[in-house]
Amino acid sequence: MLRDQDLDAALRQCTPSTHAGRLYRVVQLQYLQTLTSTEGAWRADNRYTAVEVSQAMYLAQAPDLAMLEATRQFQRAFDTPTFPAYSILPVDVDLRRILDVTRDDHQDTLETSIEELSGDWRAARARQLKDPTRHVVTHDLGKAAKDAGFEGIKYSSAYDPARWNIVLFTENLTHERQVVFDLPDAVIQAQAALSMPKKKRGARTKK
Amino acid sequence: MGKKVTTKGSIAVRNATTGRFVGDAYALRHEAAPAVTATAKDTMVKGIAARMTGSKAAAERWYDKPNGLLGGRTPKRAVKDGDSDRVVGLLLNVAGQ
Repeated sequence: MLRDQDLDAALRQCTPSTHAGRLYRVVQLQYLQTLTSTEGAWRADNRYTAVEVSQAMYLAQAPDLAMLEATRQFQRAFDTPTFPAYSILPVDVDLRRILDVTRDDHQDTLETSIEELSGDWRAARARQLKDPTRHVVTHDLGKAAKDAGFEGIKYSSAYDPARWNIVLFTENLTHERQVVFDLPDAVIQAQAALSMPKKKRGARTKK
Repeated sequence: MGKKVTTKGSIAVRNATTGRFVGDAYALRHEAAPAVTATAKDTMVKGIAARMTGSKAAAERWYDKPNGLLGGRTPKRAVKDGDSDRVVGLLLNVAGQ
């Protein structure tokens, strides 16, 4: 992967892609009230975004892929055979400026490969935290792409290379309703009820 | 330290039953994500982990296990070092928040 000014110059040669359609996000059901939150991605490292680089939103091409990514992440973090309640959310997107690194020509331009982009970024980040001269190539690319104004990056899933995910840099979205969560009426009503003061909620339940 | 930018209007919620859009204030409610404060302490962080896993024991194991994304420190050590915000961030991230 190129770095610094060479990477910036190479990104200018990559043709932005558009993407419109339905993608999927997975959220633990206990966070019913904040299904659109990007707080976790802001506060933690992910494949294409280091801490406090972006209020990024990671979306998957298909519902089962979204669940696979979430399951692996949960199992890596916690040593437990059980799995908590999650919800798979359909998200309609209308994206106008995506960096597509699933494309061979873009990988060539950036002097990278699917193997490098799908590699163990966590291990690279752990090394970098001990030695700041080390690089996390996907973090370098994510920051450079965000700074270059891309709305996000389309990349192959590390768990299922035939399919892809998109990370959105939500700060770079400029049009109305580019990302629309399509939620059932019952969920929206439940969110409204949960946002009521507990005393009032209790009174309503008793009726 | 990065700077948060609010994205007004680009992220929206639509009622799938009625087709109507819910207000932007709803979509941006994550600014006040639950159970997160910069001064999160030991008990609170473990409590979040326990709620996430559904297991107090699993939460304890996670809390005492060295974590590469915390520079090899355990979450417990990181909280003691004053990095509880970062530890909570790891949890919220796994939760898809």
